[in-house]
Amino acid sequence: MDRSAHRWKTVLHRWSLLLLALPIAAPVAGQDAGRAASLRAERLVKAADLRPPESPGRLERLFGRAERRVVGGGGPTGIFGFSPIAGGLKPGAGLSGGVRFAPFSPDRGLLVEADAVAGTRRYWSVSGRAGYRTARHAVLGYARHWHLAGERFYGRGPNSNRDDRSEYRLDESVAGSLFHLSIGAGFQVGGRAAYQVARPGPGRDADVPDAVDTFSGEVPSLLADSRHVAAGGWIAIDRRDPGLGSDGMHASLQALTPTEMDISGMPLATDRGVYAKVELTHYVGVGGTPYDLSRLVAQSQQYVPFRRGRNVFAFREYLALTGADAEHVPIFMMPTLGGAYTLRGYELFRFSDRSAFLFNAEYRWQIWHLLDMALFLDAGQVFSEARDLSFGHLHVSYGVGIRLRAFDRGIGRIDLGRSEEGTQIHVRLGTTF
Amino acid sequence: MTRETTACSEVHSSRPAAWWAVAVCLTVVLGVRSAGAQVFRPDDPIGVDPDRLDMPAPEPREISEYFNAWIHIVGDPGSYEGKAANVNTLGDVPSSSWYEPRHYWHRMTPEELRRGPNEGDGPDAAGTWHVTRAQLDEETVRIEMVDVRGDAYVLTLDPMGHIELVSGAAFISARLLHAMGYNVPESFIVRFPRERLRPSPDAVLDAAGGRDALTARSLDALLVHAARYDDGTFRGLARSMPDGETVGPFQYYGTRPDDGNDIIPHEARRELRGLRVAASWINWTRVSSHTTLDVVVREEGREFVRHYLSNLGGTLGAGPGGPKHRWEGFEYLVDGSAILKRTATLGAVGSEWATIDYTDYPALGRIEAEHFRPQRWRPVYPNPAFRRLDAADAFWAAKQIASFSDDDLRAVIGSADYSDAAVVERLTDVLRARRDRISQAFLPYGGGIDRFDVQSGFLTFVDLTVRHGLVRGDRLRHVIWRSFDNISGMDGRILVADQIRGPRLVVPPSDSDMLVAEIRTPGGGSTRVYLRTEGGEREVVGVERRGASEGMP
Repeated sequence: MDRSAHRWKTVLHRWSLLLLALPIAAPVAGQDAGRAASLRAERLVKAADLRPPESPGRLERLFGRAERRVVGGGGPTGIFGFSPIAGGLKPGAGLSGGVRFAPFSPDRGLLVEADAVAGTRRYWSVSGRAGYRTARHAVLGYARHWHLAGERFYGRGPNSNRDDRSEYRLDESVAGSLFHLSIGAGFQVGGRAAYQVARPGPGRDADVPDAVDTFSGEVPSLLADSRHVAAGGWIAIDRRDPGLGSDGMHASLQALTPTEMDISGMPLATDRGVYAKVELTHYVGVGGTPYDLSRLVAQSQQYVPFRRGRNVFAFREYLALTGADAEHVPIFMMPTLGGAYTLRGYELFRFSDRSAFLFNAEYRWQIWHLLDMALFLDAGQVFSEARDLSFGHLHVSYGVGIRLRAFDRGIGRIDLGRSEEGTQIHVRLGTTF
Repeated sequence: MTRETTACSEVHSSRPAAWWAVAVCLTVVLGVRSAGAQVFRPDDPIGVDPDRLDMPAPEPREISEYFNAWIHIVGDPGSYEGKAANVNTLGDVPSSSWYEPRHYWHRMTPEELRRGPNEGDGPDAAGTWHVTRAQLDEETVRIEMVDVRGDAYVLTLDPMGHIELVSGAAFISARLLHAMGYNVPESFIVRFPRERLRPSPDAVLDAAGGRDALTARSLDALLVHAARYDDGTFRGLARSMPDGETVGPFQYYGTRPDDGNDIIPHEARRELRGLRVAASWINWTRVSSHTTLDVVVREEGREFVRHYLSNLGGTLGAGPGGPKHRWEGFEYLVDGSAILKRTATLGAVGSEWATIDYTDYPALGRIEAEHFRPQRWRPVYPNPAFRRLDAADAFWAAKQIASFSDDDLRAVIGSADYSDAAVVERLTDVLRARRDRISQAFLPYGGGIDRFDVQSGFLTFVDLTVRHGLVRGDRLRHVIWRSFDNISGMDGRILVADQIRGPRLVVPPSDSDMLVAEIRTPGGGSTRVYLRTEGGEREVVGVERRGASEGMP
């Protein structure tokens, strides 16, 4: 039907309805046709001017797409296997994000994925993992290279000076494998072996002194490349509710390299249960690296809920002990304290040494279904020998935070920490502490 | 007098067009305006709203649930303000495509209550059910299937760990809402073995990871999320879609521009405003446009849209994938004042619902009556029709809810085939107690009287506050009779001033065509009852109630 004919048909339809409506609505002189007749007439009048519903606006279309993705599909494999990553680099990388390629659904057990992530402070990393993973066990091979453009270092020991801030660059490659087995009731065991190469160098910021220059006398091995073969094992009990789930595996994978402080996060969404882990790793220097070292890490977490989990006391204790001569622990392998994950009132990596002790306490309370508030207290100290640890001289910080969580996961947090050295604000994405 | 009648000029809008403006003006001037010269029109009170006229079918539409939630949380999309616009002069909702007066007006038998909207017998249990689509939505398995007779159903299975939870809630709520007068699809409790389900060749699976072909294996994987009885059988609710073309959900505000019958803003409809009270009773926190259905039906040669309430799985103690969240029913998803309270008090104040103890029945979920306050009950997010609930709307809904006797409730709940008799008893107790709270909250409006009639020279009524145990014994009431001018809408001279104790009063002799009796109940507001002489007999033509508060109850 051409447009002209359609228009005439529409006009004819409208007038016919109107002619039908008028006698119904209009009373004979002095008579009331009644309420029902009036309602009927109104409807006929409207029927003569029916219009199609308005098309959805841009915002509605946007919501609709998001809804279809969440409800109708999309899911972990993303679009053609690609999905965005928020965060994903070490603290200090600045605002970071990237993309993950995971072509297979995690439901199928086969894990094949690769990440590329970059941060605003010129940090970046590429990594890949492949293996088989179920809810009970995992066998994985992995490889990663990361470029850390400006890691901070203030000197070794608990009495380092804030004004001695320096930087160094670190390029690190690691390849290895691990196994992980859940043996029931929350108990887990695992082991790993890895080969890693670390190449330190000058930091990126010209205004900040190089650690290589500032502390080369104190830590001579900082100047040299290091190569290590690491092997170790752990035993853990994880009865947190909700736990980290599959995110726990990723967190575990992120902490596999010898240079990284293996400190387990406190999941933002966990409101009950306990977690404890003991891990022993031995590092053998190879390829001309003249030193070996061993590290024992023990950590635990406790979550005490009340008011049915809407209010929670959360605690974490952490102890890392390194067995080696002090001068044979390069700074990038030292435990550090300070920053969003440890002492929140201090700057990132503010304290470094061979060993470290940390205690965190939080009172969390839910203010909304997706938001928690928290008051926190952190205390910790780095030390070279066990006899140096003094609970009377702990570095202490305290503060308040707000946390976003959904679907039993932590999405991100903002913490405002205060210490004798000032105030720090931390904005972090992710599920963990 | 404030009339509870539809207001034509407020209920439709049209695009400016010269010829059309002339036509509308003609209609208004000749029809509606002259008709409005009388307060009570010859056919008042109407029992049927003529909204089932033969009309072109509207276009199917989809509404984003997320977007819908967003616009309701950040603002109020409704624009109509005022009293309900679709009621008759008695304050009741006439029969329409939205609503059909049932249990309160014509008492249903226990068998009718149990049967609810069902006309058929449900899926054929003898043959295979061919699955055409399967989905995991909020941890709940939904399956679209066709039985051997070719009848299509949507099957909602109970979630893992909570057998009978969702199916029981949806089944019971459908019957209660149907008895109240709402349109709901047919629904059946089904229990079946895995072998009865067989994917059709073109069946699809919508799940995390996208749409995929549904195979026997992927169906098995999906069914892992559903609860089973000890013998391995599943239980679910099979909903039969109404005959006709589904054209999407309806909104709780505005009208459909492509439906000629839809002239009254939905936020002005008493049955939708009053649904807030009914929703609070059955704890239907997920009530939204997403749980509605518009269907084009054909009856007696006319094609029109019938409006259904659907997806009742989120009622009673059931929530998405298990029991309701604790906060549901107590605050909105985004509730600023509660957030501020909790923030300022370190969580000590503002979430009293967190400590409520619920009985440990997996089939019951989270519903109780002790902490239920009908006035403070909240759906998950604001609803434009619910926002406009006034005392008259609440009274209308409450009198219907109060009309469900304990035996009625037991009959409905007992028909949900709970395997534990204690669940039936507990749920009956809870709904009975919630019903009574609603009665206490809303029935006293206007004095709590209804069902007016003129018999043998007496104006009789039912005192709902006495009938439902809110007040003991007959109450003392003051009555003033006046003549009434149906043209000016003004009261005339006082004919009689009297006091009554009991549910009837003498109609005074008068030459006036119309009388009005103002019945004041000390501490309970007043009700004006209008009588008209028709064929030499007096008849009740209008009722108007006033209470201490006309606004949000």
